[in-house]
Amino acid sequence: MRRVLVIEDDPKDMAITRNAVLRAGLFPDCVATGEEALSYLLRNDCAYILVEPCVKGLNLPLILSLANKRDRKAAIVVITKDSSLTSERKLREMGILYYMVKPADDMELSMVLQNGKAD
Amino acid sequence: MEKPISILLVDDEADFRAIISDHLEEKGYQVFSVGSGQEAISAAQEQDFDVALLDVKMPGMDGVNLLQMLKEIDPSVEVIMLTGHATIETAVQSIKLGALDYLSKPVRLSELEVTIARALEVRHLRRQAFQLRERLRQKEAFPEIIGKSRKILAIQQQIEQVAQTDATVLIEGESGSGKELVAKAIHRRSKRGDGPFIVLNCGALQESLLENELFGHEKGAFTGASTEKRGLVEVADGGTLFVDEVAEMSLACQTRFLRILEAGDYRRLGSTKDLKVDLRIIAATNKKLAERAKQGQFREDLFYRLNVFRIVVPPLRERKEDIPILIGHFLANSEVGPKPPPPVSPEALESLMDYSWPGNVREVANVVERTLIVSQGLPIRPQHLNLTSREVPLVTCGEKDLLPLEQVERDHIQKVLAAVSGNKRRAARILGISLRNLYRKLEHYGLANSEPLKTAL
Repeated sequence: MRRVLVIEDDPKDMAITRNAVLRAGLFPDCVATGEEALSYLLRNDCAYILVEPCVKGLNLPLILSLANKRDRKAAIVVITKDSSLTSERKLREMGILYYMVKPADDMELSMVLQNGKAD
Repeated sequence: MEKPISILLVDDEADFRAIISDHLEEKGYQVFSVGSGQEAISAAQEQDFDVALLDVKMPGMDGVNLLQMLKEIDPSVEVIMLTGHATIETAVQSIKLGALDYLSKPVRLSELEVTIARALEVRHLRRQAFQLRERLRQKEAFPEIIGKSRKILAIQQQIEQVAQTDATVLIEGESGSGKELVAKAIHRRSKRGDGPFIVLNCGALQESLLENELFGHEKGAFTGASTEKRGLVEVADGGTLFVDEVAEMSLACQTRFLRILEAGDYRRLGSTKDLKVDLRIIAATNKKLAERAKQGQFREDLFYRLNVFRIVVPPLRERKEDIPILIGHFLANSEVGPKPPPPVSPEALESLMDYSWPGNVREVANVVERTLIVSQGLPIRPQHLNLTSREVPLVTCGEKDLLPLEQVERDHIQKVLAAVSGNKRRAARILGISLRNLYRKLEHYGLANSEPLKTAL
């Protein structure tokens, strides 16, 4: 079963994201810090990474770099409370698959996970 | 030997100049002291100075005007203003014109030394930053498009031609051939180069998500749309929108997309309000878009709008002379493997050149990375490569060139014996037969007592 790494430190948002992942027929692995995310990526493959860039201690460029080094590239979906145009531009230029502002629509997220094609 | 630090001291008071000069020369600086602005300008035109100490109040040209002139001659000189008539206005004006610092007379020599040391540090850092920028600029003449083949040089020329215009570009080429790199190269060289470069991959999202992603939606546009969403056209406003795999765009989405190309207008999903954007579109596809348009799978009017300037990126098999350059580039820039990277053996290079590279440049990058891991720092040999399909070049020959099996076997045995300098035990091992069997064959082919064939090295 394809796995999804969820990087989110807000328990409520994590629950919403987790449910969306399950609804899409994928398996969520949830972490709440940047360090845990890096540990996970060094040991595991996943099809998607759902990330809130504002999580404390998160080095998003490093996460992206690790995600791209996999034999099967993980697709990055950003789900964030920061709705500024500048940060969206910066994130998109890093090569993410999709960008959502909280509160994220779990139906929309499920659609992204069901039909968005991770490499 | 390092060049001594040179200081230009400009002050109309001779005694002051003498005291400062003596002190700084004792500290190892080379001091050139003059009594007027005019003399200072002459000096600056003849030689470079690291630091200039300028008195503000002088007859004729004052220090602030002199500062401007010196900066015109040499923007890199660090200037420290000295004055007995300190005013905030003059200080602010000087700093705005590029002075590093402002000291009040009587100048404390220790404070002057510290300020000069700081000026030298700033100068050194500025110089380093400039050199790095220059090196980067030269290195990045075309960092995205690596190769020296005629076809790649033609692509680079096309990029230079189209970059400065705002023309829509259609890039065609196989998967992994570098279409996105070409698009980025165009964007960087355009007047939108400082603006955003946003990528939409039409093949990565399903139809309904694609429209949402491209145009955005209003709050309440559909069930669950609890916030508004910006579309990529809005995110890319002022910059470039790169639409990859444009052939995968649905016909409905194509209609809305055409409106952006024609008038710069679009509407968010669920909105009746027209919005305007200013962006450049670069589209890419690995399909034959013209054929799809003829077959009705792609809007013909959209095709013609996209096809204003067409760039066809050649597959790697059509520019094989670039393979060694690409291999070298990925070896040098890989994050795995030792530094410097291991050499590539001639046999390995031959295999790399013979391979057809269906995945193009992207596949080269992946093969290099995998090979560096497998070779573990040793020179790269064919067994490290693990190319997905070993394509041996077809050797076509006429019937007259074909030999009987016995002749082939005889020649091969002779070749192997030559390669091992006649050592029959080693020859048998290489041929995969017993020594007794080898002797029997040598007898059969009349080779038992003959010299082995000399092989070319």
